[in-house]
Amino acid sequence: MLGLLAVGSTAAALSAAPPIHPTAAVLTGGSDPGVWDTGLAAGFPWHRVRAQRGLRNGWTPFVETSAALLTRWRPAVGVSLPWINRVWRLSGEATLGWLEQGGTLSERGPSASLAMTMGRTRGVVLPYLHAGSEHTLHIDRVIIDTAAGDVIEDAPRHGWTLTGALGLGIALGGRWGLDVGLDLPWVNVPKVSLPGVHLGLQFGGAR
Amino acid sequence: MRRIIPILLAFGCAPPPEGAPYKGATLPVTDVHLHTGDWALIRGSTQRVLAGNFPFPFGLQPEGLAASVLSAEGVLGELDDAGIGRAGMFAVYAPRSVGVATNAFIDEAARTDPDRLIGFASLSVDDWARQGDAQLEALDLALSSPRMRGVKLAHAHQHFRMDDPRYWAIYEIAAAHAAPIYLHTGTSPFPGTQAEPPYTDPAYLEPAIQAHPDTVFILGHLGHDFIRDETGELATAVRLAASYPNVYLEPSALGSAGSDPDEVFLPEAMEAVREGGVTDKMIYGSDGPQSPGFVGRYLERTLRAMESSGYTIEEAAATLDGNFARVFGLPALGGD
Repeated sequence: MLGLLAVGSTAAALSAAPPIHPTAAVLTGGSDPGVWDTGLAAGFPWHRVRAQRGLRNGWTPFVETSAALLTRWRPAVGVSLPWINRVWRLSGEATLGWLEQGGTLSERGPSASLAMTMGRTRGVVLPYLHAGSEHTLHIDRVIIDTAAGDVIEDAPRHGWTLTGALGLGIALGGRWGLDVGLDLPWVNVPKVSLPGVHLGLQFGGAR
Repeated sequence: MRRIIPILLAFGCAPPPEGAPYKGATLPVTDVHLHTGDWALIRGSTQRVLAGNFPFPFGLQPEGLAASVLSAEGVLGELDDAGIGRAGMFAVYAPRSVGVATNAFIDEAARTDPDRLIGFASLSVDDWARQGDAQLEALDLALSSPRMRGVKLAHAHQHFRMDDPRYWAIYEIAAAHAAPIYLHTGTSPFPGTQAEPPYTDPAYLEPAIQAHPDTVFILGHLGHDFIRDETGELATAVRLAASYPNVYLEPSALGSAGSDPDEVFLPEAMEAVREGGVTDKMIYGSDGPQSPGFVGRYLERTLRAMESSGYTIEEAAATLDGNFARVFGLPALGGD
């Protein structure tokens, strides 16, 4: 009953801009000027943490970390900018980060990404879609054991990952929300990737 | 009662796999070339190659999936899913390249289902001058197990030349046990392997073939060049099979999605074998399990390759099981 009341009381929060609800801000980019919004998502195989703060004209810098099976980590800084901020929301975002993957298939290197997110507010719900392209510069090192000693050969390699997600955000009051989503990445194209699922929690509105 | 039967089938009373559909017939299948082993004993660089075949995210933490696929139970599950009746499982002693799966491990794994899992013994050829006699003795002992019916060698992985007569005692022991020898021919995609012709080109094996007419040599991978992604020594392999009654052929791995995405090499190989008149020398193998479903997918690709190459039902049946049964002295699947 409390939940229903909370949802009912925020029916306008997702569909009005401003103020931008934390769920809409985190999932589809762009916070109100001076406002902090945060998001946390857990699932298989991906986990994510994100914090962002709105500036003037919609520019919203953020920091985020994603991790697959707690083995493939990518901390990054970025900025998002809403292009359409009405019932429909459309944003672009760019990040710079570092990929650190442990385990048998260890790899690391600097990475950059571009992405677009889109959503449509309908009452307290927000269906959303994310699509992006992430590029990593790997340095493959081959050590050849020769009679004259080790010969080290470094070769750059481009790693390409397409990022994608679709899901549904739900407002739970003015400052809280959650989402359930399908993660649809294509990691290290053209190798095969399986989809994932996540449950996310958003909180924000603090100045 | 109608409900009880499916439940019984699901809990251990399942019928044996029915085989592979080919031109309206259902053909029993033996896959001569599968691997089992302990993930921890596989060399790190080879673990990377294998884990790289797993779909994301399983490659990130491959140990669990690898263990389930590589275990004897996992192999049997892959065979069931593919409709394959039985399979050869290889011991491996290649610590400088792909790793180690001991004879004892293979013998124990074959004990899981001795009718379906056929063990292939192997031996280490490192430090041969000092260790050779002990290794030959160990091979002889391993082959005394009723579950170990073949020998596996890989000159490229184990770093010894095909034309080196110091190792011919291996062939004599194999012949004494009537154990056919499966040999990797062609280059290998794995790090730490030898790529020069004396280790990969089956032409270098010809003196040994001539000197050991009672030893059966199965030329694995048909001399395919996995490094350059080329046909390699296919013509030599077919010539040897046509020239010598103790030489057989095996088409594994070269037709996988990774090695042959456009399905060119495997049809070409099947056609060459048919044109060479040696379909009675071809023994089917996949080089699985590699990743879940690989064994079944490779069989499907092989069926397509045989069909496009014009194999008759009889030729396909011989390739998939009949030639194996004859060479290994085992009853054909589905027969008496």
